[in-house]
Amino acid sequence: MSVLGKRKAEDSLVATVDLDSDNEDNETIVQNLSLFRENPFLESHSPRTDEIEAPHTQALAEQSQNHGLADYIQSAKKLILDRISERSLPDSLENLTTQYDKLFHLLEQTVKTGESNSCLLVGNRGSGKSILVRKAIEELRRDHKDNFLVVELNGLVQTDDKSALREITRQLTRESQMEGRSFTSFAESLSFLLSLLKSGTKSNSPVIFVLDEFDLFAQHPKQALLYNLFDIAQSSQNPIAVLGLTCRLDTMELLEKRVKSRFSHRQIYLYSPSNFGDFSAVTKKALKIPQTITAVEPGHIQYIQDFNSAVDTMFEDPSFLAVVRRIFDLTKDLRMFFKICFQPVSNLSIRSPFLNAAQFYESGILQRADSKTELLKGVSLLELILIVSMGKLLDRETNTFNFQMVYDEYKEFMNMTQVGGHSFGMKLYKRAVALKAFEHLQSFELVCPVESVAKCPKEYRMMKIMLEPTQITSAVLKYRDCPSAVKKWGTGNPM
Amino acid sequence: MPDTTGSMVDTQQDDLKKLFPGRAEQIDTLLGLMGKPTDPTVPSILIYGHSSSGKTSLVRALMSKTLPRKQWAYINCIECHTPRMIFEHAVNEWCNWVPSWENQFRSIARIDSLNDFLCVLKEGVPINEQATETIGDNETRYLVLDRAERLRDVASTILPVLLRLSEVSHRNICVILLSTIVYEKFRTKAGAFEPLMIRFPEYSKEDTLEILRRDFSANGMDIEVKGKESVHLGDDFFRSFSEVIYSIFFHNCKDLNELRHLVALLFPLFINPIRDGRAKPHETSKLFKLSQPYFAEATDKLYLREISSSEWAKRTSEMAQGDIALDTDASVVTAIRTNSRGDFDLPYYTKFLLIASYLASYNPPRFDVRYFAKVGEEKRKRKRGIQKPVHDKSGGKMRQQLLGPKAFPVERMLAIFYSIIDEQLDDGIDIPVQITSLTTLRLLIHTTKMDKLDGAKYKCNVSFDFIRGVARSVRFEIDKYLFDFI
Repeated sequence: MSVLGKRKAEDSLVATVDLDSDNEDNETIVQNLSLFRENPFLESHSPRTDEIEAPHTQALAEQSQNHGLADYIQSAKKLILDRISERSLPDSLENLTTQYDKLFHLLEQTVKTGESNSCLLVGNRGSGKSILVRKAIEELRRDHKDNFLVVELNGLVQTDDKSALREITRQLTRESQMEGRSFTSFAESLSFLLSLLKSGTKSNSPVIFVLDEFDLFAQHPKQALLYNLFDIAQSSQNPIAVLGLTCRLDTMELLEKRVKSRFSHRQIYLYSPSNFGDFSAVTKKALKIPQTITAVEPGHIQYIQDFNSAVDTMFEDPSFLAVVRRIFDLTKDLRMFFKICFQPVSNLSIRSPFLNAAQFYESGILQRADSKTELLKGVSLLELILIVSMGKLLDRETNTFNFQMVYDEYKEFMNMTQVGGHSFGMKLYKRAVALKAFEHLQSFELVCPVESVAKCPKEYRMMKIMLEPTQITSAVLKYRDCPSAVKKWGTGNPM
Repeated sequence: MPDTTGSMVDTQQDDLKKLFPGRAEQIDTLLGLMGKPTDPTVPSILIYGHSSSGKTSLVRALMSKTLPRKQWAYINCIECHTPRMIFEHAVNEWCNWVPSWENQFRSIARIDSLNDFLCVLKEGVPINEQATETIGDNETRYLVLDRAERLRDVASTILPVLLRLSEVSHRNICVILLSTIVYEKFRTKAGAFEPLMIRFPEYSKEDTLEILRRDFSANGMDIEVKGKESVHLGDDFFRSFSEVIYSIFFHNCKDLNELRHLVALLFPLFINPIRDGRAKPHETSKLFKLSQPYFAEATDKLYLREISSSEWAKRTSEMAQGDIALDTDASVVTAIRTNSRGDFDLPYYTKFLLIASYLASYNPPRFDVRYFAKVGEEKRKRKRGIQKPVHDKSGGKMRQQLLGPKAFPVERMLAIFYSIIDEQLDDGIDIPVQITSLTTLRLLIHTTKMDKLDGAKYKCNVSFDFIRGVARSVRFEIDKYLFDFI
């Protein structure tokens, strides 16, 4: 609390500046703030002197204090959001240093000495392949300015060799400021590109090809693009480096023999953090504001300190650690953690300037909730009973069924409850009404037809349910105002 | 700067919350994620929830209230079913370009594929000679894709790219997917960036009633009472009416649009007794009792769409005007009932053919002798010994009645046919022609290939209710001939 009080005092310093202008217009406040930033004299003011303030300026002080704080929060928010949406690169890649060194060395060889290279980066989704490459290229840019070109392709976007070639020429001609040429045929653009690449010698500017989703390129007919790229890398022409990024371990098997023989067989494997300590260290780092950030105002520095210590205390909170642990145990995927960060980070505001564990816990629960069970909470009672009926059919090892069978099961249940006098206002709905409910379930794809083509009337079409028996049980238990008869039936207890 | 915008955002937020009852949490989440216009956002969001849970209307209202028109694009994936349509519409909306006769209904840029789309995103769209519209350079652009489940059918590569569009295009773009389907169904084999999930939960009873109340005119309504002065009906009256409707239907239907449909169509019937002076507006239970017969019968028709809403509205308004006498209360209902069943007439022998094919479809062939042979079956049966009844493990769940029609050879059906007609068949009747006409009516389905003339097999495509009606019209007791029917 004393920390907060101190900051308040410092921020009221800002208020003194505002007093001069006597204007509540925000624009001027912003200007004043920037003025204040540049004025070393004002900065050296002792906060203590400013604590004595006239009461009528209190509101103003409050406002501008909020204002300064709002700016800090905004910048912190932006920084972290950039990081977790993977727009900015992390400062360091702790658990990937060996891979990074390998890759950087390889690319440096190409850029510096004109050695052609090819390499495959294999790793699970979210293990940092793209980040690694981007980081390496960024560092090369810093060292070698623009002495090399980068061509980025994505197997999902360039779905055939023709569009890939067009994209390569587009990126090359744009970056090397050559006159734009348009090609009509595949052969023409290929020959142009090859001449472009072959005409060079070792002294020409090297080109780095980054092929994201490399396995999809291998599915192109004849693998012409890969063949040509690897061929250029093999023969000492224009120096190029071909980097393939993939999450398929068997990508090598996909390559044709002639392509494979031209590939250098260099593979770099990437792994997610292997132990929980590393994992939580990386996650913690992602949420902290680095001290290196150019903070001039004492208020800002203080905020950063407070913010980071809030993150530190959060990582001591057992419930928060349980959330992180769960993600680590389930997937080791950093993106899963980032996903639950978005909400707490975007909710940073003057009212809650620091991250706290409860928010993460909440958003963690929201994101990992079983969406099917959640969806089942909103179905009508009739639909729920139909689902339980399907569950009963499953128990009898009738894995595919049609509407008639489900309706029969439902009718049996209703007869049973009505005889037992447990019906509680539930009535037996007509076949057509039940069929409509059944089709509603089908529209959510909770129930799916076995065959894609219907060969018989729709009530006889064989279906299967896309739910586990446990999901059905938990749906019944979670359903609001569920009649006890349905609850008993759905959870498998005898009536 | 943040102060005024902050308060503005707050009032907008409150407006939206008033507009959408029960959605405050989702509005907060969405606005929080969107943040300031230049803030980086989540690459993709999936909003899922039941149909008519306000996904589309909320997102559209939220976008149009908080963002300038150019910042967001709304695309319905049913309307735009090809990649080209999706991308061109998106870019058109981002550039505020409306195809019209002045520009020959052209899109602002021709985008055939994902590759072109990314090119446009990276390089911007040339609007005229001088200016180009850059997309997502600074402020976040939003791409709202409604009915996103359809994207799975467009092309396998589109969805994974859209889910991380901001990363692939290096632009600040947030893709919002709206769907009724859970994300598990979107997953592809190769995996993809997982979107942030936001669930729109079902409305509670209070929220539903509040939304229903909005359909009622704000100032209430005045209705004329026969021979007395007009009565004013206020919100409370409508609320109690919607409560009645809700309590009738919520067990089988929670879809808000369905409820609104029913409320709108049943309201005139509900206030009819007031018009006639038979009840006062405050006597809700009496009103309910008076309109109960319609509710019970007609709601099925309305809910199942057996009668069109315009036809329904016409009839009820006729009733309100007194064209139909009061004592024929059920006239609406009966009038509907007569034309709902597919009561079309077939020739006499064709009806028997249909009955025979129904029997052939649902009866096991081994019992044909028992049902249809003119000579007794007992002798043969005794010779082989009495068959033990087969124990059905599935508890009778695999009987033919539930499994649906089975294909039968046409010869078997004809044998049954000749057995169930009593008299000698006229020479003039051409059975194959009748079978063909039944097939064209889709009452029978040809299951073998058309070019195979020998051993043709058919299936009977009618429901039990239908065949019972047909059998009754020729005085044939079909129930006696069906095996294992309940």
